Amino acid sequence: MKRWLTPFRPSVATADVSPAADQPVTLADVAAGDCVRVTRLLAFPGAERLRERGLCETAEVRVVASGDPLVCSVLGVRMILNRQTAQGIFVERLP
Amino acid sequence: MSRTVSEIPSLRRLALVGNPNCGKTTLFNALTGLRQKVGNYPGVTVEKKEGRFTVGDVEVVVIDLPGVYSLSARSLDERITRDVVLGRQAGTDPPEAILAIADASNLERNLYLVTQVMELGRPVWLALNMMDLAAAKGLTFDLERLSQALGIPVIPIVASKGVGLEALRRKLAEPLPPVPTRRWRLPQVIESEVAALAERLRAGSWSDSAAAEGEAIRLLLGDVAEDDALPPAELQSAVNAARGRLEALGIEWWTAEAEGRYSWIHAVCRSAVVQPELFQQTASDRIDAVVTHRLWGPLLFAGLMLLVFQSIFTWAQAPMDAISWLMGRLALATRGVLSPGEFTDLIVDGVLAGVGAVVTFLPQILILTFFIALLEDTGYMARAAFIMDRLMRRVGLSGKSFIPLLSSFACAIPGITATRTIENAKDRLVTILIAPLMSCSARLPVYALMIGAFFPADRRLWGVFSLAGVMLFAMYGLGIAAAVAVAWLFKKTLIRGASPPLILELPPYRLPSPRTLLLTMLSAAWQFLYRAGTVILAIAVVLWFLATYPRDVALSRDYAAERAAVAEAVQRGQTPEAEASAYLQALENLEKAERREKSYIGRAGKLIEPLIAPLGFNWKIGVGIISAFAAREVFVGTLAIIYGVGEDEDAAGSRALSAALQADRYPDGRSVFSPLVAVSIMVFFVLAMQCMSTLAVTRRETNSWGWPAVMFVYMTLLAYTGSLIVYQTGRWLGLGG
Repeated sequence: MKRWLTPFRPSVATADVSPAADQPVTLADVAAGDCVRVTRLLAFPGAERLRERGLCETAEVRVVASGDPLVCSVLGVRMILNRQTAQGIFVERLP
Repeated sequence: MSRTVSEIPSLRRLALVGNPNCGKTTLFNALTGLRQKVGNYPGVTVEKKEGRFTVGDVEVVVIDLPGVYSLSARSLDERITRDVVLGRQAGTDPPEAILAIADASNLERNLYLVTQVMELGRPVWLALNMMDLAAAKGLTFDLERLSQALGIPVIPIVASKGVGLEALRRKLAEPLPPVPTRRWRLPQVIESEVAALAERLRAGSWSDSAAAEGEAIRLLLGDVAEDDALPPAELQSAVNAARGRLEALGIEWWTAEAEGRYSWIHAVCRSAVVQPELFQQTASDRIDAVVTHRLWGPLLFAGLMLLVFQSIFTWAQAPMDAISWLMGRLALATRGVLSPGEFTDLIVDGVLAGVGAVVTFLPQILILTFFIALLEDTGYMARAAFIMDRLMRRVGLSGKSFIPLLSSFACAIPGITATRTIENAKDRLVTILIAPLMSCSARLPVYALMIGAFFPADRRLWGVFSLAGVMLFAMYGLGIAAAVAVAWLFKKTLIRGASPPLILELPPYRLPSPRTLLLTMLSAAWQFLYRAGTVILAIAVVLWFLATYPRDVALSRDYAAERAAVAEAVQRGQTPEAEASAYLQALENLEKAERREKSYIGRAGKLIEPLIAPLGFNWKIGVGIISAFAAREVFVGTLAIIYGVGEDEDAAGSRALSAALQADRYPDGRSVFSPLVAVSIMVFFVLAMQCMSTLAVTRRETNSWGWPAVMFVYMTLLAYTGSLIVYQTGRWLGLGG
């Protein structure tokens, strides 16, 4: 494959995110109806696509239906993501 | 009008660019009506659509481009869009300007692409579509301010209702607006790298002066498609050096483009759009709570499909009978007009019987197309992908692969083309390989003939569903099951890879547009009739010759002498007239049957009969199957010619053919056809690769002869084995045949 960006990306392994026990860390852990802010996207296949569609760092996301796949609302648009993808999206709770 | 002809160009080329699901095709159709030309870009199967309309003296040519989310050229669709707009696509003149279209009810997301389009160095108009939906959502727009903030003209429209189209047409014929400038900013360090790279692009004349900055951003911060050419080595090293410098400063440049564009877009929208609340629980959400439910979702999906297949039989019967009757009258009229002879036989028994038998199935194809278009237009397709994701993931694909598969129910060719939305090359390949297992509309005539003749529509299962509908559903289900199994096998062996991510948009449910439905059905009808008038016609003529010649064969009895004897007996009053005519009719049928058996096609069929006898097929079915390798629906036409249905004076088409199939006997008196044989034939058609066009498209999309070969071999093996198992198991269970 000719994805010439890849060597420069932080891999999943080097991501310095340690799950804290008291709050949900990835989008996969967010309950339906909750609203969160994206802090970081890991370099999984499809991350670029998510950014283009508004699911980028600092974006607000609302989980409409949890489960696998989950439904979330990004900029008012409903998107479905499977669990594996959602686990690569780190989020923080909005007050 | 104050303008004169000399002030404005008489011909203007525009490219139409927008997100998927923003009403781009609706706008294209509404603007250009039926003045469209559909082709392909050379080397790829991305559809190339051009249409035109006239305003005053200005002829405007609109190029419809694939719906994309960005121009980063990560998929083939995006690359085509970018290359056409930049004039890099061979065989397509560059457009002078761009008409961007955005869904007003989701403006922020749609503006991402618009900001990229504004950096291509061409004048841009923005058509703000679905203003009615936006109003229903409670959004109000300050269009003047929006236009000023963006720096491009904005025209509000409702493409599906034709609102604002006149104003848009007039605007598009006016003098071109100025080329927009980039108004959003990247962090300063990145900006200076972009400026340096743009300067290099201009100096090396890699890019138009006006488009250089946009190109620099794409190169520096974007990705390339797997099959796109990498930039020249000199640029690559410049880009890599720039990225290295940014990383040394601790800058995560890969997040910069999306953040930069979206924060600017957010500011623009806040100033020009009044939005009551970003998140609203919509009617679509409430519907989805049921439609995508763990339990109800799949049940609803299956029930929906069953209903579709049932209506294919119940609704189509009357129009099919009408076409059948019409073809019969036509045959009769032809016999009346033309003098008896070989040419008349060719027309009636070859062309009218062969083509007529196929054309009869037009109503069923229209009904199927109607339902698939309905599923697409209402937005249900994405829900089907959602529902099927769990199952698809188990075999190593994502639910996204299910959308091309569902389109393949109409035809595998657009289905295979639709796999281009699948980003992962391996998943795309597997999806292409299994797409032809979905029962396409060309198989429908075969199923309909077999089910119509051997599974009565008035027999009910569980009181609700007709046996015919359930049988048809079962055939489509078998195709899906086989596809899933084959996908699993491919993912385990030839094409290994992890399950792909699922990232898919759920568009809000929409009322289907009657116009779109009608256009889709018209185009399906046209394609079907076109094939009937070309491929099927040609095969019908060839088959008629093969089934008629040689004429001078040794027959088992002297039919002419026997006929003369009967005539003589009638004259002498020894035989009653009615009895004699019945006998003569039987004699004639016997002679025709024997002649056909000794014709070229009969001999060829007899040759392969031992090979297909274990599947329950006689030589006539064998000939039908072989001719169906050119196009599946030819099978029906072939049987019509071999069974001499065109010669029946009172009826042609499906009814007469059904009767002929039911009446056929082996020399020992056994019925050739039985429900079991019919199922065996259908199973063969479900699984067999009998479509040259699909192989050709597969070759183009995979860029090798190897994969179409794999496809042909595995499907043919599957078909033979499948039919063998069905027929032999059925016999063993004592199901007759």
